[in-house]
Amino acid sequence: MQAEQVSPLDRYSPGRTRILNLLSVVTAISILLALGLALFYAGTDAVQGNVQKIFYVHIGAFTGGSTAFFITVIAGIAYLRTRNPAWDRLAVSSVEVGLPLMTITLLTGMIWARPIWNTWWTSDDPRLNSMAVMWLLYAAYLTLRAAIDGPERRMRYAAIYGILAFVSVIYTFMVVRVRTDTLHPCVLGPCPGQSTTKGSFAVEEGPMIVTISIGSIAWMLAAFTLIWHRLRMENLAERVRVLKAQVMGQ
Amino acid sequence: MPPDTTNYMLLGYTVVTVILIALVVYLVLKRRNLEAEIHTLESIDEEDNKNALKGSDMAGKDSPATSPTPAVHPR
Repeated sequence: MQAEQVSPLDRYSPGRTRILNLLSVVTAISILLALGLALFYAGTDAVQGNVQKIFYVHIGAFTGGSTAFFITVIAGIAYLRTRNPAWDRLAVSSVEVGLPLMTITLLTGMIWARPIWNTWWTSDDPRLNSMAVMWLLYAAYLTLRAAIDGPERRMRYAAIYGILAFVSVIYTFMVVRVRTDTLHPCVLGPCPGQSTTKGSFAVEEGPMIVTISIGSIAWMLAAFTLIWHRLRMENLAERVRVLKAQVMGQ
Repeated sequence: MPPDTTNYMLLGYTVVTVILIALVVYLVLKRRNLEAEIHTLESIDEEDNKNALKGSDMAGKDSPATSPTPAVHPR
């Protein structure tokens, strides 16, 4: 295997490091602000009680995770066009950040469902099923990547897989907006199955809109920041591979 | 009066905090390990280059006519 040269752009520059450090601080403050708004500003739901506050994190984490997976799509398209391995590193970094954020979405949803639906999980709900399938698809992305031999083949297949897998994100977002048999609340937008949902609430008051908006921005920012950190790590790992090849005399 | 579902809310926020902290700790530790590995590999590479140069100097002094090619590194 020919050792790949690390681009000088992958090396850390002090200016970029400063921007990343600043972004990390802004992200941490934003997340704390979003959590604070959800806990102390948005108000308590008269029917559900305090557990409804989980929704602000649930929606925010989904927004952050979707953003990360969308970056995987962009990086996948860019890789297929340019064949530059840097895009592949961005794609895998985005999946590795998106997956924990989607795990937060899944787990917070289950915890909310327990007192509201009286169950942690129901296999009859299309939104829950599509969410589980989406999570498994991206988990499989990481597993399958590691199983493919040959770096170019691996990067090409991963790019195509990353682009196709995003269909599951779109479907998960849309399913409560097109299906009439879903239990899952549809908080934003017109939804045909509003009568069958259980645990729904309207986002009409100012504090709720402010909390959801700031929360979504904070989680998107968190996705960007974590991807940037993860990408730097991926560049370091690439440097390790190059150095190992040098030392081994390849 | 809303039902008391505070325990579930706390459980939810605890899960979020744990996952976020785990993710950040994973990134920090992995980065630290990679940087240490790079440092070690660069030291080995530098040492090898020095040894190779020294080897070629020695070969040049001892038998300049019999070793026209530079010393080949064993690794």
